[in-house]
Amino acid sequence: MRSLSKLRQHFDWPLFLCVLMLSVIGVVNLHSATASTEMTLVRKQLFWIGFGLVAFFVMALIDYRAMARFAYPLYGVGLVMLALVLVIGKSINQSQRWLQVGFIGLQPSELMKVLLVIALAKYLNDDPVVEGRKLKDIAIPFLVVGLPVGLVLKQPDLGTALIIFLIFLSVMMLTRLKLRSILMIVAVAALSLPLSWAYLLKDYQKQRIYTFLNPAADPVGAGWQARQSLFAIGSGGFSGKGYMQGTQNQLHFLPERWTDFPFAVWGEEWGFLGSVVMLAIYLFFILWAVKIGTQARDRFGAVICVGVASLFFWHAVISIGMVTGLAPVVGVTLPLVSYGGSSVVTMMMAAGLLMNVSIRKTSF
Amino acid sequence: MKLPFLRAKDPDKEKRRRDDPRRARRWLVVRMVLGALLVFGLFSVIIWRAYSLQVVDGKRMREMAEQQYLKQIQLPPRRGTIYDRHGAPLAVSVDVDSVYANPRMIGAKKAPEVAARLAAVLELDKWALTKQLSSKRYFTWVARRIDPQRAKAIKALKIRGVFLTPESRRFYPNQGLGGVVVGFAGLDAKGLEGVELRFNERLRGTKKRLKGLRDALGRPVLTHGHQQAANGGHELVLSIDKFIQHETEAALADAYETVDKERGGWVTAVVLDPRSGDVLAMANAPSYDPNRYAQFKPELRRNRAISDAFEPGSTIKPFTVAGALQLGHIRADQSFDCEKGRFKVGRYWIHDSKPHGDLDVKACLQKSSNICLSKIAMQMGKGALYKTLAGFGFGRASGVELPGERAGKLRRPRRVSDVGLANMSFGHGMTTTVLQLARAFGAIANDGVLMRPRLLLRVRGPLGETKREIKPRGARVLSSGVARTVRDMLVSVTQPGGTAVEAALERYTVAGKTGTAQKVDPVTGTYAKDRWVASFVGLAPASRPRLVIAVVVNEPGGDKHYGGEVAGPIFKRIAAKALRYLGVRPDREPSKKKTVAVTSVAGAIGTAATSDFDPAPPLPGERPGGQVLVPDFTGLSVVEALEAARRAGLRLRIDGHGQAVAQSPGPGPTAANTVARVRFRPPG
Repeated sequence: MRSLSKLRQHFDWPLFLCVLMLSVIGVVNLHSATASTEMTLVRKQLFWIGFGLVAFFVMALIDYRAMARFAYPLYGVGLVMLALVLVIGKSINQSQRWLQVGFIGLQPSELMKVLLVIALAKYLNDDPVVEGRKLKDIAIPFLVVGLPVGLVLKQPDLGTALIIFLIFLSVMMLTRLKLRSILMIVAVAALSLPLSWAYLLKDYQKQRIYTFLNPAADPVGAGWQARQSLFAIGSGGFSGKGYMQGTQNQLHFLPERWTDFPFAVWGEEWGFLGSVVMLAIYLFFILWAVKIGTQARDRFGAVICVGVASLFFWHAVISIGMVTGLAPVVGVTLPLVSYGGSSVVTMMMAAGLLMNVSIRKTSF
Repeated sequence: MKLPFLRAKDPDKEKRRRDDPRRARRWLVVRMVLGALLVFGLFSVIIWRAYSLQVVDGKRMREMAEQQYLKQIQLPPRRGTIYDRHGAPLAVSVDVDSVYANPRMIGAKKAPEVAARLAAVLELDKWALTKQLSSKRYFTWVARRIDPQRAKAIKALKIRGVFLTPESRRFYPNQGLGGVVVGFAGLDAKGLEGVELRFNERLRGTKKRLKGLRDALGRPVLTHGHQQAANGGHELVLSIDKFIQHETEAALADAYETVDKERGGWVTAVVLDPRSGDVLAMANAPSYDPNRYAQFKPELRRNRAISDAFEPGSTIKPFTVAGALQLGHIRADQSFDCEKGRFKVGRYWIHDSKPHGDLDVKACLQKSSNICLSKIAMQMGKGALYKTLAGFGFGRASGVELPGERAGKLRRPRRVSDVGLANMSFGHGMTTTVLQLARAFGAIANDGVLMRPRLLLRVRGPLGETKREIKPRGARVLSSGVARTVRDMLVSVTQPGGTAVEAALERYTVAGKTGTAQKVDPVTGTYAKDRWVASFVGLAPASRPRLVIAVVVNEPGGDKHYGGEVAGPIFKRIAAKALRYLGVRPDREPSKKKTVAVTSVAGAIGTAATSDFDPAPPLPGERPGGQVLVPDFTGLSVVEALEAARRAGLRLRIDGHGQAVAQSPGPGPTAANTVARVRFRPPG
């Protein structure tokens, strides 16, 4: 009850409006992307947004300090689900990412992002090392993030693993590291790159990176997606071709146009202006999240805000970067805009956490 | 591991420094600034990227994108039908199916199997097709314009990535009747010969390039079917008469059997209506079938009646005489000494085939005396003879609406020697086409008015409305008196004692002139003794001429080579059938002797069979009261329906392809000139 009145009193409208705007953009864009084929996706997405809003408010109402108590068990559940995916998961496009729960295909790796943020917040809250952290001080966080990353890579899902790792790095920026530790991390990363290239990456993943480095090599084969999305965005011009008028989109030149390439659809139909508007919403959302974090009344809340901000930030930057040819093609969704139940619900939960921190920042 | 430069020197100082809260706060600020830089930096990079893609490169990207999806879809409009003068189709466009494939949809793995199945139905090379289907393309033709049975079989296979699309195919009914005139259109409905070539633009219609959208699978989208009526080609109505054309072709085909094929012999004929200049028939033998034009040698497609100029020989004589009479150089009752067959002009001797004494002008023509004609020409002089022959249209293209017409050669007076003048008077030292010859003779038939050959009567729009009517055009070159005088003289040619008794008709008087020219030996450059061009050009009936027919036989075989005996019978056969068909009133009683003779042979069959005259069959489409009977088209194919419509005298608009499923008006009588609409649907 106290939570409800807090929510009413301190409701964070800018945050909520951002969430709504992105969701609406997502649905509008999805309608255009699917109009010529799968009309049912819009209804499904609306359902997921509704479900996500419920999750948003649930995550906003439960006091995050209460959540902290269950941070590790929840994280454990996430790990178990990730492990389960590898055993009994459903595979689409040669990678096992989905758990079939009833009629719903659940993607535990998405959920894990939020659970990880909570777990990291808990750890950093409980272990307030003021001095510069040494390597042994970050061993546990490394383990916390390393387990899910490993499991996700096994699926394989390069994009999600990357996102999880980037969130971790971003959150760790909050805490002081010894210069020596930073150098150590860099050294390990540098060393692991060729190793992971040789042993970890699948052929199709290598192919994507080759393609990214040289898109013209095979324009109708591996480079097709990247090339088509560039055509789509570029041909949108300054003001776009108009809603439902994107030829690259409507004529199915764009692959994965409602999951990983929605920005291409958006850019084609709404042009540079539309791109700027969407980017501005994301930027505002991220800055707003950081602002909430700086006003949070405890370390736990601040870490959560930075974690959620980095979740949105890296998702948006990588997804758009991939579509605009700045990053190799890795399957990363555009927060709240991409089609997909797990993604939408995860992002809604993350935004709900922000609301949670926001309504509790001032009252004691 | 200890890095020396990082080693703290004073542990205490170091600890104090570390615990200094101000310092910690400073570090936090640094980290936050770093984070903000990262966020703003990456967003800026993305904005910059979007700007360069969409604003700077936008136009180029749009063009590149358009290249993929904008396929210049050329909706080939329905090519206009070509009709004969009575509305019988000579060239029609019929929608047939073409097969294309999207190799990307088939996939290299399944390509061999798909290729095998397609090849079995279409009788194609399996391996070539496999290669075609394993490519990375989005579109490839498998087979174009296949017959309906195969199209049905392909449809039944239901192979993913294999599609059918209707395409227009040119069809020439009756094994390509009149093919040498009509010509043919190639695979992409482009006229390549004859009328198809000459009027390609009109037949094709306004070439409308539509920008069509192409999706990622290469399928054209957003195109709305065929717009046949809207931008279809014009229809042409030719002066050709299907019946006469058919009879002419048949006569020539038989005559071709007698020519010397080893020397490349051929036969050609032109039938004109002298009153209008209408080309009723124009044919060659050997010929070709435009439906299968590719299987014939190019020389067979040559329209020799207009594209081959030959030395006409004696067939020119009537024009020399007519000119001399017209210009008053001679009188019709004048006589000439034929010098017993030998006459010296300058250093050269001119010969007659038989020695004659004094002959009047008529006899000169009847006996075809070169010597007499030389004397007439010498009275005329070079200028007058040239003017006469040029006036009849020699040495100049007739302007018939066909490609590849030759002008022939007529020497200018100052380049003609004395013996050249003599030669020219009987058709040597000049060349002409068969059409020119027939046309010039038409002036004698048409009471002195030289008509321009008319092949195109009418141009109709895609909806059947008349766009252009071509009027006969002519110019008087002789007075009607002189024309009639010469005509009367020429009747004697086909009468006993003339050179072309073989051309005479039972019930019609025939005026004509034979020609027997020695060919120039290509090796020696002199006249060859045994190579001939035999010709006959005649008109009938002489009292009121309705037809002019010119027949040329190149390299006649066997021992016959005179125009009368070689070309005369061909003329006779064509003229007899055509005059009967046209219902021309006879102007002559059948000769007793012939009728008796034939009756005695044919017995009870009666004289009708031997007569040139029968009551003419009603012309197609003409019924009493201006009414025609609409047949029931249901179930007929396009070609069958066209044929039925022609018999009924109806014009037809064809929608779709396949079998007739609906028609308007329904079966029963209707006003003539009605255009019946018939809808066709593919069977099944």
